[in-house]
Amino acid sequence: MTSIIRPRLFITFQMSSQFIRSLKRVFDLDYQDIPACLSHEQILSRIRANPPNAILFPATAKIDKEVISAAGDKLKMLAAFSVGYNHIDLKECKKRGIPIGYTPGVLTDTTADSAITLLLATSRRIAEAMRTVRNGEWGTSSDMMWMCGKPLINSTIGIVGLGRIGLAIARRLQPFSIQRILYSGTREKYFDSDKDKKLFKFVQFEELLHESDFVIIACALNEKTANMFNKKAFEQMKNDAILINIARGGIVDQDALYDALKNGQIRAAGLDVTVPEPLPTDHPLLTLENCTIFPHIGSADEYARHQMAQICVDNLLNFFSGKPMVHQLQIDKL
Amino acid sequence: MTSIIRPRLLINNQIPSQFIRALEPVFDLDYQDIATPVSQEQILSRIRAQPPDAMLLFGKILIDKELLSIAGDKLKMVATTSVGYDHIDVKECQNRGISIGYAPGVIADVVADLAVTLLLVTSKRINEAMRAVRNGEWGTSSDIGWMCGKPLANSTIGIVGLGHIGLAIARRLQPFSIQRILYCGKHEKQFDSENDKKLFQFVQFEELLRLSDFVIIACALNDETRNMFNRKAFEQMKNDAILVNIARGGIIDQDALYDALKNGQIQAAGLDVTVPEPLPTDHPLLTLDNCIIVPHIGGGDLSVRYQMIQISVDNLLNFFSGKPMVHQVNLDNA
Repeated sequence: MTSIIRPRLFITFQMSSQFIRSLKRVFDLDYQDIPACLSHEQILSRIRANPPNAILFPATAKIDKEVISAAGDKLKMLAAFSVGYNHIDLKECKKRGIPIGYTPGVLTDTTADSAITLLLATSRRIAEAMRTVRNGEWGTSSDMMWMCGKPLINSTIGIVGLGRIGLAIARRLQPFSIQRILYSGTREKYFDSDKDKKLFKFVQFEELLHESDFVIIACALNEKTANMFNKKAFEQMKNDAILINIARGGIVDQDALYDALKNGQIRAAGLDVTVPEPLPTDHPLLTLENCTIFPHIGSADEYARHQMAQICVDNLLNFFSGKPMVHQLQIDKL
Repeated sequence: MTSIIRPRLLINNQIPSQFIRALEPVFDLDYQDIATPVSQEQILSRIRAQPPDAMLLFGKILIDKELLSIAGDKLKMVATTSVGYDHIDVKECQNRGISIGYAPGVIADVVADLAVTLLLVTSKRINEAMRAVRNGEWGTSSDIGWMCGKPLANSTIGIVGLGHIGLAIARRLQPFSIQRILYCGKHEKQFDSENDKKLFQFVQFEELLRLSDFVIIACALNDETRNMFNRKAFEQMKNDAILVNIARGGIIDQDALYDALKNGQIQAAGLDVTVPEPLPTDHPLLTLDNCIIVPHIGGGDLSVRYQMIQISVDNLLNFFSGKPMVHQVNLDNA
């Protein structure tokens, strides 16, 4: 009717056309339908050329002070296509009063599935196993230990951070004849059933390291957890322990991990996250047989991605029509 | 005391010395403490040279008419450390009055673990994912569908053969937010809990193929199941179905599987068993990205291997002291 100025939205990654269509009705889009990743520089120059009112971006885009200042006062909202938010300068957003939409919850199932995939693939040495099929090593040994894995039966599982995802991981491991689940974190959880009260035990981080056969990192990255898995932590772990990280790469000190894996201080590691991402192809961790690395595919399932995109679109449409977002990050409570 | 003639025992594989010590007081051993595998030909010539009263066998040595006639009347018992006995000509053993000991039960947990491992690594495309980390493909695409896997949430699982192992697989998949489990086989199982009655549904093989998102083969290989997964079976499966085989390679017609994977009739396959084993390194299935093959490591867990040998040793000792074996193949039902 009247000539309302349409808000301008910068989308930094490729999305399915159905979502682009619903956004086009409300926004003027700065969007390129190509699968290439935008560099930090490219993001900055696009923002400088056409300052947007909102930015829609994945976890791989760093929204730091520089990006936010480049956008200036025009920027009214950030729509993160992610569950995590450590790629965003929250302080700067708070200072400028920029609200952040994100997509929590939807990734719980698929991330827990990925954690179990990584744990099983690492303990059963799947990468090595596949290689022996291809290189003709299969069948050349009658050694009974050949390709033997580490059993889950009667094992002690340690989960660092028993949030939604940590608990979903625990539930998936329960039928694997495990013995018990230790967990550490900011506080003890309450369980209703007697079975759970017996199965789960809240312990200090050091005790978890000391007792666990499998250690799974499922906590957020923050000042307390950054480099939590350092040289000292690996020294406290069992020599045949397996470490799984599906949370954030920064929680593990990678140099210390390399030494621990190389020297047999721990048996193996499975990582879905690294520092940096992508990991350089000549990184020392990639030379180790006992380190399985996935390219951050924890949330890579078509159904979950679709749900995330839908939440982002709804966050944007709601915000710019004056309604509450579906999921707004509570910056004040962090 | 008196000069009793000690039975002669042929062992085809290196085993830990504790088991040798347990067998030595009773048997004259034909045993070589070396880690190289023994071929069918070598076994035949060892039998010709010195016919044994019993054999303790690992792996794929065929106990066929040829071997049994070379062994002749002297052979009284065969102890296989495996759960399956499709490599043994059971009828011929029956004709000759040869008893067969085997080792069921203990392996169910680890095989079920591997079945879930294979299902997850296949659905999450981890062979491609790990390659992307190593070859620098990681980070080059902003496509949100990159490396997306097939979700387990709300899926229909089809299990062909709901025995010990099939049921252990089902129990492990239950917490993965799956929708239901279809199974086929000789007869319907009785479940006690209401939950189970809702979750499990007994169907015909064709219906299982038509409705399942994931199809897991967990049945024995016999005349009815040989090449059960043929061209016709693949035609009936969903185009995005994933097939997992942890039972026996002979249940699948591999040429038909190759075509089904190549033509997109099904999405992917994960195999722990093939025909032959080891699979030749130039086999067409190894050229496919959507086929993950591991070298028959289903039972690959040290504690399980020890248990299986222990059962076989007990089978031997019991049989030759006139007691019932721990686990004897019932020749009338076989």
